[in-house]
Amino acid sequence: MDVEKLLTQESARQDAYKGLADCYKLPGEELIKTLEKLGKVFETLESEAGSHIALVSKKIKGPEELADLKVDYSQLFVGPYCVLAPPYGSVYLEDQRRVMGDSTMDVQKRYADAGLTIAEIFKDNPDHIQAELEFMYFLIFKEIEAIQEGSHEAVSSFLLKQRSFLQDHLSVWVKDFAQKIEKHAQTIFYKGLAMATQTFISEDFAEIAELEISEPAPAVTSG
Amino acid sequence: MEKKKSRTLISDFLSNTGLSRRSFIKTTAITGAAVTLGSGMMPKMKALAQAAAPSSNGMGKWMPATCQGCTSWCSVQVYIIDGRAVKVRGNPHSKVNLGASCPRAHLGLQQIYDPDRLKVPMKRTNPKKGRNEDPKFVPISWDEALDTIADKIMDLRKNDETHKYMLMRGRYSYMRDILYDRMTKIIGSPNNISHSSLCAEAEKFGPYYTEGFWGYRQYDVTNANYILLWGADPLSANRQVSYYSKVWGDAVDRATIAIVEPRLSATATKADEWMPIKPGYDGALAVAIAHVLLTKGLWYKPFVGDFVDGQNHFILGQTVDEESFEEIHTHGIVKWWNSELKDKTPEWAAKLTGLDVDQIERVATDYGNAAPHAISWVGGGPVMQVRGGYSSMATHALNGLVGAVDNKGGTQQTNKEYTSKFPKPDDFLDDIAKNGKKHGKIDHRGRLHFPCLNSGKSGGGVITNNAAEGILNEDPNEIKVAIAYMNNFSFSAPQSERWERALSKIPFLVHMTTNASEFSWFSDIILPDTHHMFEKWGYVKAHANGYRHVTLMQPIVKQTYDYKTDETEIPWLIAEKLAKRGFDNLLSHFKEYKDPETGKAPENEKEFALYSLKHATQNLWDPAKYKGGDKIKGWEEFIKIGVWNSDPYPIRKKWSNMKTKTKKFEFYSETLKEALGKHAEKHGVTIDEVMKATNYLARGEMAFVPHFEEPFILGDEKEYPFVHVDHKSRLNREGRSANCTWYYDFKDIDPGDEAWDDVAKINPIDAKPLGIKSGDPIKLSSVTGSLSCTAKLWEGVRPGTIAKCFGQGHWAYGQLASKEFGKTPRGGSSNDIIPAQYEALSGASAYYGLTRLKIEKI
Repeated sequence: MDVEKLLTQESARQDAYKGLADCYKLPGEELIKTLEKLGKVFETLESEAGSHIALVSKKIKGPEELADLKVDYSQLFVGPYCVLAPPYGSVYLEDQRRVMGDSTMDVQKRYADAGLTIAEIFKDNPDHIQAELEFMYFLIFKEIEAIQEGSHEAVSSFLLKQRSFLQDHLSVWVKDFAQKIEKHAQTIFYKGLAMATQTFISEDFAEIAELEISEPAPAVTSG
Repeated sequence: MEKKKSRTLISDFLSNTGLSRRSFIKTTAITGAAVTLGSGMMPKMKALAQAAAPSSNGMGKWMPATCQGCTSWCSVQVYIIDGRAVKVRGNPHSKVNLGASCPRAHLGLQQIYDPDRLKVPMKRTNPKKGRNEDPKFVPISWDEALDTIADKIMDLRKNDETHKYMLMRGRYSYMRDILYDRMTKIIGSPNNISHSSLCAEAEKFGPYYTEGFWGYRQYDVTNANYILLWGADPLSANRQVSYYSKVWGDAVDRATIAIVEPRLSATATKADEWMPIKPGYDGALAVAIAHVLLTKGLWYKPFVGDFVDGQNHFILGQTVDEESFEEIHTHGIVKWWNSELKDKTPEWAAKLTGLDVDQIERVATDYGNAAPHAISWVGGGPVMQVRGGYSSMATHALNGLVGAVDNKGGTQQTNKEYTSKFPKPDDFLDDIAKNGKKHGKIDHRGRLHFPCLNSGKSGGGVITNNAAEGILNEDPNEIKVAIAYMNNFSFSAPQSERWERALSKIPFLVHMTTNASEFSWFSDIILPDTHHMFEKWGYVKAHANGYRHVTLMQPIVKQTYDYKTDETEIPWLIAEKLAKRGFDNLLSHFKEYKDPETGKAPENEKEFALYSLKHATQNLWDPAKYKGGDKIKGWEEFIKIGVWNSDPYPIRKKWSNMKTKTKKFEFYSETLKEALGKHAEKHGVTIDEVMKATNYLARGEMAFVPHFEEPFILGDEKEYPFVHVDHKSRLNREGRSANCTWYYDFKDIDPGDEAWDDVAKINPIDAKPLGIKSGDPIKLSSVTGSLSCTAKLWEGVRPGTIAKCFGQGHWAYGQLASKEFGKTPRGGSSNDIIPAQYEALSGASAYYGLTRLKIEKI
């Protein structure tokens, strides 16, 4: 079997989630680099998401564009008034348009099961898009580690975690989330980012959903 | 196609179970792929981090808290699981709200978890200000926000312009003086402007100028035989809604309940007598009731006294010799009779009030027969009117006649509590500050036409809504730097549009709030505030049921957003920044707020917030400082219980020991006479001229007795045929419910209102000739503005009046609060049709019996 290709493949997945997670931070200078890298990663993955990123990354040249992006970012994801595309799972997975719902608690539990918690400096809810994307990044990172160790059980375990997380959370709400961004974004960038996010996640979920993964023995460490 | 390939790769790996760890290492080593062996490595992450401790077992815990959804300030408990608040109930340890909780507390859950909350400090990037100018807020760091604020304050200090600094406060806790008083003084400004006069000041006017008590009363309803309510709706709104809701069944069983209110309120639905009065005529009814009490000899003689000869000389139309009556605990009964009451028959009142004469007679008689356990309960409706000051006195004076004042089954003041004030700021006021403080206040309190006689002092009270005029006209000076917290004057103050212009004019405005609002819209920096029920240290005091409690606010949930506390943490952080700029007076002052347990001075904002609270409440929890009430063993126990209760209310201790000029309950108010006299003297005018300037009709001696005044209602009756009746919702959390789905889901618990709608209630008798049906979109207009809402035909509103609940009509609050954010409000804001007018003796904004309306179908 071609382990190197597998590692390249999984590293690219890992970096795609990480890159997307970083795109949902308040935009700054580093965004340009993130997009560059993301473009390459999507190329490796031969993902349709690449075209969306390619289209928008050219638009960001310097401070002027970044200033517009900041305003757009705020109105879409922060507020302060009507958050146009709330970046929280619970808003889409539950009624009442609230944060910190039962679905959020489920996300928090999955983080905890993986030995993780929300970072002190993050100061936002556990089901924030950035955190959820980063959680996928973490799970793939751990999966890669397990591949490198040749631990099939651990690989299966991390793949299952990824699958169920996408299935119960991220892939469920990303579509509605992306639609809201597309509807309300004032900049091409966030429209493109929305398309890229949705496209990549649905591609990735489709793949992982079809994998035959045997349930690992209950004692497998969770990382 | 390619995707299939990648799936194959991982499938191959998973199926290739023969691949051993050893051979795998070999393979990868050969291929040269970067390999890090051994699990447990942590990737670089920003949102997530390694958990220090295992997660909880999912079990929850009831934690003590305080609800500030209205000013009842109930002690509550919140069920917390994994740092998340999931449900709320009354705190069983409180003797004030007795474990009960009204619906508002539950709405707190939807507020804290509102996705539209302000989450990080933000700054405006669009320098233009106005309703149609999107501020284009973007996130900034706390450092940047605080640096900017400190620079602006330092600019004022450098230029000897500290009086151009202004602090506006909305909902506060008793930590308020740190930000409101100390910081404003030490910076050097006279302009700390409270919201209070938007709330209730006229309601305190009557009790003060009769019994010397400037505050909210508590009513001993479970021992009362008669409860006569004036526009008060205790089952819905202010105050002690939880307590009264809990005991109202007992009160209904025991007492006769009458309510004077043009609208069938929640409390009216449970009353024996509903008196749908014409707005503005409460004073007429009150003096007619007094007339009946006196002519029928129903006054409570052990309190008021009696005629020397034992005969009743209060006979219709006849004056009485003052010497013939010997008063005991009251002052001026005969003067009141002679100047106001002698002709004020139920027939006279019936004509003015539109009420049934028999009902007036019956209510007055039954009320008198219930003496002294007969409450006259003054709410905002009859008194927050342009000429409401004397209605406040007249309605409250009934308590004096029947001896219900300071009595069992009557009206009571507050119990003693033993919290301490914060350290004095005087030593930290430098010359700049002292000079700055000498300037006049921006709200014009104390000027001839705004006596604001809080506790007898000219200019003693605030006239909040008029500060907009001060800012707009730069009178007495311009405002250059302003900080405001938990207020929304550009929505909550009558004729709000004035505030939009005033705020646009302030060059640098900071707003601390949980939710960005119509006020934030005009701000330069907005700072995320803690939610009082779950996220901050603080305390408030409240009284009911014959007790007073001091209830704590604590941070009981896991912090999510980057918020800080308005009254403690933020002033500390500003003080630190000012100190870095060479002005350390504020920080040095704050360092005096030491931890009473360790004597340690605070070193950061968190310690400051905690130590200042421990300092303020030490007498309640430190056994060595015990002064009364609940005996608490220490700080740890205090924060576990969350509430301290006073000793029971000692009745009749104030009889002939009141804080009035005569120490008696004054039907002829020597106290008001003195206060008005001083105000007149200050301006070199007569009291009659003060009366004229404040839009009152009384002249001469009438200015000192409770009396009826023709209401001052704006709008020509022909063009504007209906009188507006404003009222409050059972679900308004200080007007901060508008982004909660439950608010709309349950809006129909306000009698006559509809879920997910904002209706104006119109009597079918009035609606039919206009061809208006329930559900019709309508426009209501007054002389100063208009609003759009839905018509609701309802018999529960007096013909000739239109009742509309306050609370909806936001244009910039959150996703739910507007139909279309920034464009179409959901419903209509009452303050768009309420003119900016005042009950000038107290400074209260007038809301009721103030304006006429017309209705148009749209």
